[in-house]
Amino acid sequence: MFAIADPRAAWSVLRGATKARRAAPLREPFVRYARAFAAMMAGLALGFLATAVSIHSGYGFNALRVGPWTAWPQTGAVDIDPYARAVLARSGEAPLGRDQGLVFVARVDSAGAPLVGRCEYRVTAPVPAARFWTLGLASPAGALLPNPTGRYAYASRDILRREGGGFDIAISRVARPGNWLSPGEARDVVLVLRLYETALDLEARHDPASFPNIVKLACP
Amino acid sequence: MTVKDRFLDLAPWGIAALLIAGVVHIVSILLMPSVATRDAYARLVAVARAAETTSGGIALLAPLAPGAETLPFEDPAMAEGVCVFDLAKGLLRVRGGADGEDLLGLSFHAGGRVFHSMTDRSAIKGKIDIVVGDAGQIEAVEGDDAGAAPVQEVRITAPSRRGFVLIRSFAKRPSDQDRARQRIRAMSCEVFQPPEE
Repeated sequence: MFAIADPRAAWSVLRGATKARRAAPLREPFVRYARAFAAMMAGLALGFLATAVSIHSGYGFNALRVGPWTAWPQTGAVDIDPYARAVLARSGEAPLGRDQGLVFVARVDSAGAPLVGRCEYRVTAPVPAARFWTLGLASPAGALLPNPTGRYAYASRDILRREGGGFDIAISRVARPGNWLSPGEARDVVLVLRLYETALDLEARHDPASFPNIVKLACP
Repeated sequence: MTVKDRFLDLAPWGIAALLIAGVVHIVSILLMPSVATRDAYARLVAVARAAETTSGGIALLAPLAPGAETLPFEDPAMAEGVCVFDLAKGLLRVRGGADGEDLLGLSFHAGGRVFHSMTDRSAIKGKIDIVVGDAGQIEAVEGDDAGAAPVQEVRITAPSRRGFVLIRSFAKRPSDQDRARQRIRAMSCEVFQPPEE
Protein backbone atom coordinates (compact mmCIF):
# COMPACT_ATOMS: atom_id res chain seq x y z
CA MET A 1 0.00 0.00 0.00
CA PHE A 2 1.18 3.47 -0.71
CA ALA A 3 -0.38 6.89 -0.39
CA ILE A 4 -0.18 9.62 -2.97
CA ALA A 5 1.85 12.34 -1.31
CA ASP A 6 0.27 15.23 -3.17
CA PRO A 7 -3.10 14.56 -4.78
CA ARG A 8 -2.83 17.73 -6.86
CA ALA A 9 0.46 16.65 -8.33
CA ALA A 10 -1.00 13.23 -9.15
CA TRP A 11 -3.97 14.86 -10.85
CA SER A 12 -1.77 17.05 -13.00
CA VAL A 13 0.23 14.00 -14.02
CA LEU A 14 -3.00 12.23 -14.98
CA ARG A 15 -4.19 15.29 -16.90
CA GLY A 16 -0.85 15.50 -18.59
CA ALA A 17 -1.22 11.87 -19.63
CA THR A 18 -4.68 12.49 -21.10
CA LYS A 19 -3.48 15.57 -22.87
CA ALA A 20 -0.59 13.63 -24.33
CA ARG A 21 -3.03 10.99 -25.55
CA ARG A 22 -5.35 13.63 -26.96
CA ALA A 23 -2.42 15.17 -28.76
CA ALA A 24 -1.82 11.87 -30.55
CA PRO A 25 -3.29 11.88 -34.04
CA LEU A 26 -6.45 9.96 -33.15
CA ARG A 27 -9.21 11.44 -35.25
CA GLU A 28 -12.67 12.19 -33.89
CA PRO A 29 -14.70 9.11 -34.98
CA PHE A 30 -12.04 6.76 -33.65
CA VAL A 31 -12.21 8.35 -30.22
CA ARG A 32 -15.91 7.66 -30.22
CA TYR A 33 -15.43 4.08 -31.36
CA ALA A 34 -12.89 3.55 -28.62
CA ARG A 35 -15.29 4.94 -26.04
CA ALA A 36 -18.22 2.89 -27.34
CA PHE A 37 -16.03 -0.20 -27.19
CA ALA A 38 -14.90 0.60 -23.65
CA ALA A 39 -18.51 1.23 -22.58
CA MET A 40 -19.59 -2.10 -24.09
CA MET A 41 -16.78 -4.02 -22.43
CA ALA A 42 -17.46 -2.37 -19.07
CA GLY A 43 -21.17 -3.17 -19.48
CA LEU A 44 -20.48 -6.81 -20.29
CA ALA A 45 -18.12 -7.18 -17.36
CA LEU A 46 -20.52 -5.48 -14.94
CA GLY A 47 -23.47 -7.53 -16.17
CA PHE A 48 -21.69 -10.85 -15.80
CA LEU A 49 -20.36 -9.78 -12.42
CA ALA A 50 -23.89 -8.99 -11.24
CA THR A 51 -25.05 -12.40 -12.50
CA ALA A 52 -22.20 -14.19 -10.75
CA VAL A 53 -22.89 -12.37 -7.49
CA SER A 54 -26.63 -13.01 -7.61
CA ILE A 55 -26.36 -16.75 -8.29
CA HIS A 56 -23.91 -17.21 -5.47
CA SER A 57 -26.18 -15.63 -2.91
CA GLY A 58 -28.98 -18.11 -2.39
CA TYR A 59 -31.93 -19.08 -4.54
CA GLY A 60 -33.50 -15.82 -5.59
CA PHE A 61 -36.06 -14.13 -3.41
CA ASN A 62 -38.46 -14.98 -0.60
CA ALA A 63 -36.19 -16.97 1.66
CA LEU A 64 -37.73 -18.31 4.85
CA ARG A 65 -35.21 -17.69 7.63
CA VAL A 66 -35.59 -19.04 11.13
CA GLY A 67 -32.54 -18.62 13.34
CA PRO A 68 -29.67 -20.36 11.53
CA TRP A 69 -32.05 -22.23 9.19
CA THR A 70 -32.96 -21.05 5.70
CA ALA A 71 -35.47 -22.52 3.26
CA TRP A 72 -36.46 -21.35 -0.23
CA PRO A 73 -40.09 -22.51 -0.51
CA GLN A 74 -40.66 -21.17 -4.00
CA THR A 75 -37.95 -23.34 -5.59
CA GLY A 76 -40.51 -26.14 -5.51
CA ALA A 77 -43.40 -24.10 -6.89
CA VAL A 78 -44.49 -23.29 -10.43
CA ASP A 79 -44.00 -19.56 -9.84
CA ILE A 80 -40.28 -19.96 -9.23
CA ASP A 81 -38.39 -16.76 -10.04
CA PRO A 82 -35.74 -16.59 -12.80
CA TYR A 83 -32.90 -16.22 -10.31
CA ALA A 84 -33.81 -19.43 -8.52
CA ARG A 85 -34.17 -21.21 -11.86
CA ALA A 86 -30.72 -20.04 -12.90
CA VAL A 87 -29.19 -21.26 -9.64
CA LEU A 88 -30.93 -24.64 -9.84
CA ALA A 89 -29.88 -25.10 -13.47
CA ARG A 90 -26.27 -24.53 -12.50
CA SER A 91 -26.23 -26.64 -9.35
CA GLY A 92 -28.25 -29.50 -10.87
CA GLU A 93 -30.63 -29.80 -7.96
CA ALA A 94 -34.12 -31.21 -8.25
CA PRO A 95 -35.91 -29.40 -5.43
CA LEU A 96 -38.69 -30.93 -3.40
CA GLY A 97 -42.13 -29.95 -4.67
CA ARG A 98 -43.92 -27.44 -2.52
CA ASP A 99 -46.61 -30.02 -1.66
CA GLN A 100 -44.01 -32.55 -0.57
CA GLY A 101 -42.11 -30.65 2.02
CA LEU A 102 -39.51 -28.06 2.83
CA VAL A 103 -35.73 -28.25 3.03
CA PHE A 104 -33.97 -26.06 5.56
CA VAL A 105 -30.22 -25.62 5.38
CA ALA A 106 -28.07 -24.25 8.21
CA ARG A 107 -24.66 -22.92 7.28
CA VAL A 108 -24.06 -21.38 10.69
CA ASP A 109 -24.69 -22.44 14.27
CA SER A 110 -27.29 -20.82 16.52
CA ALA A 111 -24.73 -18.21 17.57
CA GLY A 112 -24.09 -17.25 13.94
CA ALA A 113 -20.62 -18.77 13.50
CA PRO A 114 -20.04 -20.85 10.33
CA LEU A 115 -20.25 -24.63 10.78
CA VAL A 116 -16.84 -26.25 10.40
CA GLY A 117 -15.95 -29.94 10.35
CA ARG A 118 -13.28 -29.83 13.02
CA CYS A 119 -15.61 -28.43 15.69
CA GLU A 120 -18.00 -30.38 17.84
CA TYR A 121 -21.66 -29.44 17.89
CA ARG A 122 -24.82 -30.55 19.60
CA VAL A 123 -28.12 -30.29 17.79
CA THR A 124 -31.17 -30.47 20.02
CA ALA A 125 -34.94 -30.78 19.54
CA PRO A 126 -37.55 -29.52 18.75
CA VAL A 127 -38.34 -30.02 15.10
CA PRO A 128 -41.46 -28.37 13.58
CA ALA A 129 -44.44 -30.63 13.03
CA ALA A 130 -44.13 -32.82 9.93
CA ARG A 131 -45.13 -36.31 8.88
CA PHE A 132 -41.48 -37.32 8.62
CA TRP A 133 -38.25 -35.45 8.91
CA THR A 134 -34.59 -36.14 8.39
CA LEU A 135 -31.64 -34.21 9.74
CA GLY A 136 -28.22 -34.76 8.23
CA LEU A 137 -24.85 -33.36 7.30
CA ALA A 138 -23.71 -32.38 3.83
CA SER A 139 -21.00 -30.37 2.17
CA PRO A 140 -21.86 -26.74 1.29
CA ALA A 141 -22.42 -27.93 -2.31
CA GLY A 142 -24.87 -30.61 -1.16
CA ALA A 143 -22.67 -33.72 -1.40
CA LEU A 144 -22.63 -36.42 1.24
CA LEU A 145 -19.60 -36.42 3.52
CA PRO A 146 -17.54 -39.61 3.48
CA ASN A 147 -17.15 -40.80 7.06
CA PRO A 148 -16.34 -44.04 8.88
CA THR A 149 -19.88 -44.57 10.19
CA GLY A 150 -21.61 -44.68 6.80
CA ARG A 151 -24.47 -42.67 8.28
CA TYR A 152 -25.36 -39.33 6.74
CA ALA A 153 -28.64 -38.41 8.42
CA TYR A 154 -31.10 -39.34 11.12
CA ALA A 155 -34.77 -39.76 10.34
CA SER A 156 -37.64 -39.00 12.70
CA ARG A 157 -38.27 -42.72 13.11
CA ASP A 158 -34.78 -44.03 13.75
CA ILE A 159 -33.38 -41.43 16.09
CA LEU A 160 -32.82 -42.27 19.74
CA ARG A 161 -35.08 -40.18 21.89
CA ARG A 162 -35.07 -39.22 25.52
CA GLU A 163 -38.07 -39.70 27.71
CA GLY A 164 -40.61 -37.12 26.57
CA GLY A 165 -39.61 -37.28 22.91
CA GLY A 166 -36.68 -34.88 22.90
CA PHE A 167 -33.38 -35.82 21.28
CA ASP A 168 -29.92 -34.55 20.68
CA ILE A 169 -27.42 -35.32 17.95
CA ALA A 170 -23.68 -35.03 18.48
CA ILE A 171 -21.66 -33.85 15.51
CA SER A 172 -18.07 -34.79 16.00
CA ARG A 173 -15.14 -36.42 14.25
CA VAL A 174 -14.67 -38.77 17.20
CA ALA A 175 -17.26 -41.33 18.28
CA ARG A 176 -19.98 -40.14 20.67
CA PRO A 177 -22.63 -42.16 22.47
CA GLY A 178 -26.24 -41.82 21.36
CA ASN A 179 -27.08 -40.08 18.09
CA TRP A 180 -23.82 -39.26 16.39
CA LEU A 181 -23.07 -37.82 12.96
CA SER A 182 -19.51 -37.66 11.75
CA PRO A 183 -18.40 -34.97 9.28
CA GLY A 184 -15.40 -37.11 8.33
CA GLU A 185 -12.49 -35.02 7.13
CA ALA A 186 -14.69 -32.28 5.64
CA ARG A 187 -13.61 -28.71 6.32
CA ASP A 188 -16.94 -26.92 5.92
CA VAL A 189 -20.25 -28.58 6.58
CA VAL A 190 -23.93 -27.65 6.47
CA LEU A 191 -26.86 -29.17 8.30
CA VAL A 192 -29.87 -30.12 6.22
CA LEU A 193 -33.30 -30.46 7.82
CA ARG A 194 -35.98 -31.90 5.56
CA LEU A 195 -39.58 -31.65 6.69
CA TYR A 196 -41.89 -33.89 4.67
CA GLU A 197 -45.53 -32.90 4.55
CA THR A 198 -45.28 -30.06 6.94
CA ALA A 199 -48.03 -27.56 7.63
CA LEU A 200 -45.50 -24.82 8.32
CA ASP A 201 -46.92 -21.40 7.53
CA LEU A 202 -44.67 -19.79 4.92
CA GLU A 203 -45.89 -16.27 5.56
CA ALA A 204 -45.43 -16.26 9.32
CA ARG A 205 -42.33 -15.34 11.26
CA HIS A 206 -41.28 -18.43 13.13
CA ASP A 207 -39.75 -18.63 16.54
CA PRO A 208 -36.18 -20.00 16.30
CA ALA A 209 -36.99 -21.95 19.48
CA SER A 210 -39.35 -24.15 17.44
CA PHE A 211 -36.42 -25.26 15.25
CA PRO A 212 -33.40 -27.39 16.16
CA ASN A 213 -30.79 -25.56 18.15
CA ILE A 214 -27.15 -25.89 17.04
CA VAL A 215 -24.64 -25.33 19.82
CA LYS A 216 -20.89 -25.34 19.36
CA LEU A 217 -19.24 -27.33 22.14
CA ALA A 218 -15.55 -27.41 21.42
CA CYS A 219 -13.15 -26.51 18.66
CA PRO A 220 -9.89 -28.40 18.93
CA MET B 1 -11.44 21.44 -20.34
CA THR B 2 -12.82 21.58 -16.82
CA VAL B 3 -13.68 18.61 -14.65
CA LYS B 4 -17.36 19.32 -15.26
CA ASP B 5 -16.92 19.25 -19.03
CA ARG B 6 -15.03 16.04 -18.79
CA PHE B 7 -17.79 14.53 -16.65
CA LEU B 8 -20.49 15.65 -19.11
CA ASP B 9 -18.38 14.25 -21.91
CA LEU B 10 -18.10 10.79 -20.34
CA ALA B 11 -21.47 10.54 -18.56
CA PRO B 12 -23.40 9.21 -21.59
CA TRP B 13 -20.86 6.43 -22.02
CA GLY B 14 -21.14 5.56 -18.36
CA ILE B 15 -24.92 5.41 -18.63
CA ALA B 16 -24.60 3.28 -21.75
CA ALA B 17 -22.28 0.91 -19.90
CA LEU B 18 -24.80 0.57 -17.05
CA LEU B 19 -27.66 -0.09 -19.48
CA ILE B 20 -25.62 -2.75 -21.24
CA ALA B 21 -24.76 -4.25 -17.85
CA GLY B 22 -28.46 -4.44 -16.98
CA VAL B 23 -29.37 -6.13 -20.23
CA VAL B 24 -26.45 -8.57 -20.01
CA HIS B 25 -27.41 -9.44 -16.43
CA ILE B 26 -31.09 -10.07 -17.21
CA VAL B 27 -30.39 -12.01 -20.39
CA SER B 28 -27.72 -14.17 -18.76
CA ILE B 29 -30.02 -15.03 -15.84
CA LEU B 30 -32.90 -15.89 -18.17
CA LEU B 31 -30.73 -17.95 -20.51
CA MET B 32 -28.95 -19.86 -17.76
CA PRO B 33 -31.45 -22.76 -17.63
CA SER B 34 -31.20 -23.33 -21.37
CA VAL B 35 -27.42 -23.20 -21.59
CA ALA B 36 -26.62 -25.10 -18.38
CA THR B 37 -25.25 -28.49 -19.39
CA ARG B 38 -25.19 -30.07 -15.94
CA ASP B 39 -28.73 -29.38 -14.76
CA ALA B 40 -30.85 -32.03 -13.09
CA TYR B 41 -32.43 -33.11 -16.41
CA ALA B 42 -29.06 -33.66 -18.12
CA ARG B 43 -27.70 -35.54 -15.12
CA LEU B 44 -30.73 -37.79 -14.86
CA VAL B 45 -30.81 -38.54 -18.59
CA ALA B 46 -27.19 -39.68 -18.37
CA VAL B 47 -27.80 -41.76 -15.24
CA ALA B 48 -31.12 -43.25 -16.39
CA ARG B 49 -29.41 -44.84 -19.39
CA ALA B 50 -26.96 -46.75 -17.23
CA ALA B 51 -29.24 -47.43 -14.25
CA GLU B 52 -31.32 -50.52 -13.63
CA THR B 53 -34.72 -50.14 -15.31
CA THR B 54 -37.72 -51.76 -13.67
CA SER B 55 -40.41 -53.68 -15.52
CA GLY B 56 -42.53 -50.54 -15.14
CA GLY B 57 -40.04 -48.46 -17.13
CA ILE B 58 -38.61 -46.55 -14.17
CA ALA B 59 -34.86 -46.09 -13.83
CA LEU B 60 -33.89 -46.95 -10.26
CA LEU B 61 -31.11 -44.73 -9.01
CA ALA B 62 -28.34 -46.32 -6.98
CA PRO B 63 -28.52 -45.60 -3.23
CA LEU B 64 -26.76 -42.36 -2.36
CA ALA B 65 -23.12 -42.69 -1.46
CA PRO B 66 -20.38 -40.05 -1.09
CA GLY B 67 -18.93 -39.23 -4.47
CA ALA B 68 -21.69 -41.08 -6.31
CA GLU B 69 -24.56 -38.63 -5.96
CA THR B 70 -26.52 -37.93 -9.11
CA LEU B 71 -28.04 -34.72 -7.77
CA PRO B 72 -26.85 -32.50 -4.92
CA PHE B 73 -28.89 -32.05 -1.73
CA GLU B 74 -30.80 -35.31 -2.07
CA ASP B 75 -31.97 -37.09 1.04
CA PRO B 76 -29.91 -40.23 1.77
CA ALA B 77 -33.02 -41.68 3.44
CA MET B 78 -34.86 -41.78 0.11
CA ALA B 79 -34.83 -44.49 -2.50
CA GLU B 80 -35.19 -42.77 -5.85
CA GLY B 81 -36.49 -43.64 -9.27
CA VAL B 82 -36.80 -41.47 -12.32
CA CYS B 83 -38.82 -41.42 -15.55
CA VAL B 84 -37.35 -39.13 -18.17
CA PHE B 85 -39.99 -38.07 -20.68
CA ASP B 86 -40.16 -36.40 -24.05
CA LEU B 87 -43.75 -35.52 -24.91
CA ALA B 88 -42.89 -35.54 -28.63
CA LYS B 89 -43.03 -39.34 -28.31
CA GLY B 90 -46.45 -39.32 -26.65
CA LEU B 91 -48.10 -38.72 -23.32
CA LEU B 92 -46.72 -40.10 -20.09
CA ARG B 93 -48.81 -42.05 -17.61
CA VAL B 94 -47.46 -42.65 -14.12
CA ARG B 95 -49.28 -45.28 -12.09
CA GLY B 96 -48.81 -46.88 -8.75
CA GLY B 97 -50.37 -47.86 -5.48
CA ALA B 98 -50.14 -45.57 -2.49
CA ASP B 99 -51.23 -47.71 0.39
CA GLY B 100 -47.95 -47.93 2.31
CA GLU B 101 -47.46 -46.06 5.52
CA ASP B 102 -44.21 -44.45 4.42
CA LEU B 103 -43.93 -41.38 2.33
CA LEU B 104 -43.90 -41.71 -1.42
CA GLY B 105 -43.36 -38.47 -3.26
CA LEU B 106 -43.62 -37.63 -6.94
CA SER B 107 -42.33 -34.41 -8.38
CA PHE B 108 -42.74 -33.45 -12.02
CA HIS B 109 -39.97 -31.29 -13.43
CA ALA B 110 -39.82 -29.58 -16.81
CA GLY B 111 -38.42 -26.33 -18.10
CA GLY B 112 -36.40 -25.79 -14.94
CA ARG B 113 -39.37 -25.83 -12.59
CA VAL B 114 -41.47 -28.24 -10.58
CA PHE B 115 -44.82 -28.12 -12.35
CA HIS B 116 -46.57 -30.65 -10.15
CA SER B 117 -45.80 -32.51 -6.96
CA MET B 118 -47.68 -34.88 -4.75
CA THR B 119 -47.28 -37.48 -2.05
CA ASP B 120 -49.07 -40.74 -1.34
CA ARG B 121 -51.40 -38.78 0.97
CA SER B 122 -52.91 -36.92 -1.95
CA ALA B 123 -53.49 -40.06 -4.03
CA ILE B 124 -57.11 -40.70 -4.95
CA LYS B 125 -58.50 -43.90 -3.41
CA GLY B 126 -55.03 -45.19 -2.72
CA LYS B 127 -54.04 -45.04 -6.38
CA ILE B 128 -51.64 -42.77 -8.19
CA ASP B 129 -52.67 -42.26 -11.81
CA ILE B 130 -51.26 -39.19 -13.47
CA VAL B 131 -51.17 -38.28 -17.14
CA VAL B 132 -48.66 -35.70 -18.34
CA GLY B 133 -48.99 -34.09 -21.75
CA ASP B 134 -48.57 -30.80 -23.54
CA ALA B 135 -51.58 -28.54 -24.01
CA GLY B 136 -52.65 -30.16 -27.31
CA GLN B 137 -52.32 -33.72 -26.04
CA ILE B 138 -54.29 -33.03 -22.87
CA GLU B 139 -56.99 -31.38 -24.96
CA ALA B 140 -57.17 -34.44 -27.20
CA VAL B 141 -57.50 -36.74 -24.18
CA GLU B 142 -60.20 -34.55 -22.65
CA GLY B 143 -62.11 -34.34 -25.94
CA ASP B 144 -62.13 -38.12 -26.06
CA ASP B 145 -63.88 -38.79 -22.76
CA ALA B 146 -67.10 -36.89 -23.39
CA GLY B 147 -69.88 -39.07 -22.04
CA ALA B 148 -67.51 -41.80 -20.89
CA ALA B 149 -67.07 -43.05 -17.33
CA PRO B 150 -65.90 -40.51 -14.71
CA VAL B 151 -62.22 -39.74 -15.07
CA GLN B 152 -60.00 -41.35 -12.44
CA GLU B 153 -56.71 -39.91 -13.57
CA VAL B 154 -55.12 -36.57 -12.84
CA ARG B 155 -54.14 -34.70 -15.99
CA ILE B 156 -51.34 -32.21 -15.99
CA THR B 157 -50.06 -29.92 -18.69
CA ALA B 158 -46.28 -29.74 -18.77
CA PRO B 159 -44.67 -26.33 -19.44
CA SER B 160 -42.16 -27.86 -21.85
CA ARG B 161 -41.85 -31.13 -23.73
CA ARG B 162 -38.79 -32.57 -22.04
CA GLY B 163 -38.66 -33.26 -18.36
CA PHE B 164 -38.58 -35.93 -15.72
CA VAL B 165 -40.62 -37.40 -12.92
CA LEU B 166 -38.65 -38.02 -9.75
CA ILE B 167 -40.11 -40.66 -7.45
CA ARG B 168 -38.85 -40.60 -3.89
CA SER B 169 -39.66 -43.41 -1.52
CA PHE B 170 -38.85 -42.89 2.13
CA ALA B 171 -36.90 -45.49 4.08
CA LYS B 172 -37.42 -44.63 7.71
CA ARG B 173 -34.43 -46.75 8.71
CA PRO B 174 -31.34 -47.51 6.62
CA SER B 175 -32.40 -51.18 6.68
CA ASP B 176 -35.68 -50.28 4.97
CA GLN B 177 -33.94 -49.20 1.74
CA ASP B 178 -34.85 -52.45 -0.02
CA ARG B 179 -38.50 -52.13 0.87
CA ALA B 180 -38.49 -48.50 -0.28
CA ARG B 181 -36.99 -49.57 -3.61
CA GLN B 182 -39.59 -52.31 -3.87
CA ARG B 183 -42.32 -49.69 -3.74
CA ILE B 184 -40.78 -47.93 -6.72
CA ARG B 185 -40.60 -51.23 -8.60
CA ALA B 186 -44.34 -51.58 -8.10
CA MET B 187 -44.95 -48.35 -10.01
CA SER B 188 -44.94 -47.76 -13.73
CA CYS B 189 -44.27 -45.05 -16.29
CA GLU B 190 -45.61 -45.65 -19.76
CA VAL B 191 -45.78 -43.62 -22.94
CA PHE B 192 -49.03 -43.68 -24.92
CA GLN B 193 -50.36 -41.90 -27.98
CA PRO B 194 -53.21 -39.39 -27.74
CA PRO B 195 -56.54 -40.68 -29.10
CA GLU B 196 -57.25 -39.93 -32.77
CA GLU B 197 -59.86 -37.31 -33.50
